[in-house]
Amino acid sequence: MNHARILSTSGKIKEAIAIITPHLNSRNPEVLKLAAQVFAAAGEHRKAEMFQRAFLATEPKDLPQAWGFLGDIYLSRGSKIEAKRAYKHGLQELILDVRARNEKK
Amino acid sequence: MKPALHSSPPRSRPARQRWLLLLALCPSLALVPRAQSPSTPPVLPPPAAPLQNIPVLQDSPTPLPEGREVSITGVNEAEFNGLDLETRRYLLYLYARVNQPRVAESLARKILAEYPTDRQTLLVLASLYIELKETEKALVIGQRMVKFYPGDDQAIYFLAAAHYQAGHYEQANGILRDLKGAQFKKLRYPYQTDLASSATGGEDWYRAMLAYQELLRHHNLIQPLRLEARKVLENIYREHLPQLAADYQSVIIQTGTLDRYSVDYKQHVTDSVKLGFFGSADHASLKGGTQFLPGDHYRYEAGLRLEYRHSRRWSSNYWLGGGEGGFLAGANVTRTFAQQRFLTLEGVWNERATDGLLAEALNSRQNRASIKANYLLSHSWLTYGEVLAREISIDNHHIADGWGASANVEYILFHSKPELRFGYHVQWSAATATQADPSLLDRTVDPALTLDEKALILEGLFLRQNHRQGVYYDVRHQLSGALYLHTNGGVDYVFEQQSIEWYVSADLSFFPRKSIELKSGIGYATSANTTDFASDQWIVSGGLKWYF
Repeated sequence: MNHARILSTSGKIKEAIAIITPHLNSRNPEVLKLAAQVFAAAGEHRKAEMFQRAFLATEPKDLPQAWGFLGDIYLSRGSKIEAKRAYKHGLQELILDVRARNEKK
Repeated sequence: MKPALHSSPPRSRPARQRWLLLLALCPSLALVPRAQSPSTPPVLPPPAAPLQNIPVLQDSPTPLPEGREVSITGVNEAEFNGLDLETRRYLLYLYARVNQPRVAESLARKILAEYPTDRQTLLVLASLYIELKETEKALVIGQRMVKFYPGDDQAIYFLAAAHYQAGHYEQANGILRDLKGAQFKKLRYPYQTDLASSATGGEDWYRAMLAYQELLRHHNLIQPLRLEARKVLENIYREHLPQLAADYQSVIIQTGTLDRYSVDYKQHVTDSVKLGFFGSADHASLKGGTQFLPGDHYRYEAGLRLEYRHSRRWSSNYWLGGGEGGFLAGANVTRTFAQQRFLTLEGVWNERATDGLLAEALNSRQNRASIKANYLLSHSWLTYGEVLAREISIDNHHIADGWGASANVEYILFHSKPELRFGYHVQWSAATATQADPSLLDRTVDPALTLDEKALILEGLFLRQNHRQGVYYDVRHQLSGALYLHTNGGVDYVFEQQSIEWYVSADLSFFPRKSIELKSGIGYATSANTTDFASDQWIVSGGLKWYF
């Protein structure tokens, strides 16, 4: 998976897809997250959206970023309203996270 | 009767291109990365599993978890003090995305006070200012980024985007071209859309055409953007590639018919010069009556035309030719101002006068000087007008002088799908009394008429006064992929006749291939807007345009 991540970030999208495809049946959040990133980089926004939604459903720790990334995917395919909604969720999660951190202090 | 001039309001940068600006940000924020060409030969992936076969997606789309409600506007910014840089950057990013520019700007200023060269904050700020159309600020941030990060493609890109928004299209295009040459020679260029639109904005049609061709051939565009790019490219082809047009129009009134045939060819010989030829043939057919002889009258003319685009602001046209009426020539010069406002001065020597069927049958000619102007009042209001003076002759005998003016005010209700406009227009023209030898009429009137009767006919060759005002509509609509409709109509009050007249017309354009346009139209008016005002008028037209 790390190899696929490296390939994806260095722009070698097709190779990354080749590596990740056999693992797409997995429910592992890391696989879902990576699949969303790789498909988004490949311009396959529909697949990217579905994997990112599946990743969000696992309630990951980095919820603000996960919502923000979903917003980016929507924006990439031109769905501005959905994008703004996702960004808003991300921002709300981040504000709550900041408040929780401030309370701990 | 049709509005003499037509212009569209200025088009703002397509919304889809604006959000593409934003997407350029994503890699730096570890969000959606840009797709780029692999630098090594691609390895084909195994066939991807169909989505419905992937168990995790079988319930697709997976229901999203409920977002937790918290106000994003009523936040005390002091809560963000003391946070790590990464969290503040992400807050800034999300605030910018949810359209809370003032909070985002405040967060950015605080970050920049601590880290004046923070690249990601500068990028978000540049993007934000461009979205908000705060061009001056976007330019300052763009220049600052390029100063701190001279080789950074996103910094350079945002500087170009700021120049584009400021209307410095050549500068924007130059920056984007240099960036492509320096960093993306063998890679897919992520700013190809902007390269193309800046070339279009700078009216560098050739570079725009190449850029759009490359965009469509080599880039993975979402469908709406692909359609938009194709539409722009087709417009460039239609405007700039060699084209041949052949048109036919028949004007039918009670006293006869006027058929007009024309051909026109033009092509670029350099980036800024178009050369072409034109030819036309008129056939005026008089039915005859108590005073007039039945008969057919023909006139022909042909010539060469040169169009020269001096700069983005100045262009001129020249034409030279000859025909039945002798040598003919003309020239005009146009100054284009911002937002498609323009002013055209035109001088024409020995063109056809089209005052009525009898004047056409007698091959009346005119020398004309005119000024046309088009002024966009706002996004939805447009006004244009023309004033002219002319000197009319038949068989090289000067017989009258004339003046005229027209003005239109239009309200654009819909800018597209369909484009719908309503307007009010005023048209006024006048001519001196005709002074000519009655023998000029011998070809067309009964020789038995007395001199006084002939003088009376001469008097009616040109309207001494014509004043109309009225309202009209104009609709342009794409009926299907290859079929376009243009229709207009209106109601005028004709002051000289003290009558209300109406008119309507419809034209269809069909593109069986992208390079071929077939046109056909029909129109009707209760009163011809010429000396034949006593008759109603039908107009039938057809044409072919071939883009090579």
